[in-house]
Amino acid sequence: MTLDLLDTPLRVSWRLSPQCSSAVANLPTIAERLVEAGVFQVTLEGRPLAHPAVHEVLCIFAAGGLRVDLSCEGTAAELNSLGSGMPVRQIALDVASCLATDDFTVLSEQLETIRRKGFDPALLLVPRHDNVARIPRLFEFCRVHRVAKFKLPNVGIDVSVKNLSGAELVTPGDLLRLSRELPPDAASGLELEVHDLFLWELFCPDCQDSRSEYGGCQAGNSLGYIDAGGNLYPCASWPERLGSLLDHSVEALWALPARRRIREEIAETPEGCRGCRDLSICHGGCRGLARTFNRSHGSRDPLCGGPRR
Amino acid sequence: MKNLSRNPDIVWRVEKRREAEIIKALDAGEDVSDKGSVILIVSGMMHQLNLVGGRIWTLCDGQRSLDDLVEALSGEFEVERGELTGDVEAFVDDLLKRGWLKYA
Repeated sequence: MTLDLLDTPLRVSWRLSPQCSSAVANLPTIAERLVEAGVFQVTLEGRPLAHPAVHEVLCIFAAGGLRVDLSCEGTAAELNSLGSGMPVRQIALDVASCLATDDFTVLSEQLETIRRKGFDPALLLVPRHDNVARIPRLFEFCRVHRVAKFKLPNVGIDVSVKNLSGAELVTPGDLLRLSRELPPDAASGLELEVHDLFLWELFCPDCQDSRSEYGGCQAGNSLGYIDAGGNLYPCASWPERLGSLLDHSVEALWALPARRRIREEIAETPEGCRGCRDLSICHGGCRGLARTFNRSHGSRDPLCGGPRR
Repeated sequence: MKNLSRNPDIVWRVEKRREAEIIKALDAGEDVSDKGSVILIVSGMMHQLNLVGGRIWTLCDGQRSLDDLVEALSGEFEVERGELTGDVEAFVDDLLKRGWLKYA
């Protein structure tokens, strides 16, 4: 059975940091709209634990039965705000700042603090050109420090966070170098959540079947993204704003012609993927990043080295 | 007879707009058996149920037996009773084997 256009997204990521441009008083409105829309899962990104409205937002989600994951940069303000019994399914510790300082002692202390509060933390890294080679070392860190899960989400292109040029993205050359250096069992014993197909096939070469249910890019269908101002997007990697959740319901924004057009665009085979033997597996990969940064290569996923014959 | 209930670990919802479109197509005599109207997330994986499957799933609230399901569906779908019973039994059996349903 093919996946049809959904009434509303199933999973939404929401950028929630202390410097959010949405007024604190507005955030419960957005949270309530997600509950009303029947969203299953929300991932709070940025530094949600440092946001003054996070407890109120989490209470709304808990009452509505939403599953909540959140990311954490491990700052003192975030860890102090983290309370035992918070209605959160998973906390993912973003390791980007530790990579910048190369101080893994701090990372292990942050993990222990989160554990003392009753959570089983995961690690998270947004893969980029300048950090992708460090991933095997992070896998090893996970094994030594009993971290069961590692998340490699997609690269967001929210300009309010950072204006990307495209040079920050992982390249096919990066993946080739990584594949030469990667031990065969690099990810063994770890539960990986990998957005990008090309990273996934590198780290999970023996689990090709587990991706057989993947039906292609879910931007604007089962996925959605909310920026710090309360604007809804098809996903964090698709730069087209659908509208504000302060003014409209999720259902109304998901029913717009713009959303339908985006889905039609995603349904088309990218020019740069024609004739590829693996198109039925990746379905063109990350279409948002491809559309934004790789039009010169037929809007192929930027991590893809070219059509496979 | 024992009542059927859904696995509480499975999150699900009815796609109301889709359901309305499918009912309209059904009324127009179209084959809607491959059109999904209920979404389920099972162990992180998304699944869809078609209109009849979705109705059975929705009715499995721990308050109804297999006979109750057939009785409720016979009022909604124009199908010969014996055929309907067989179809419902087969569908429920499949979901029981998957662990998506259980007897309350």
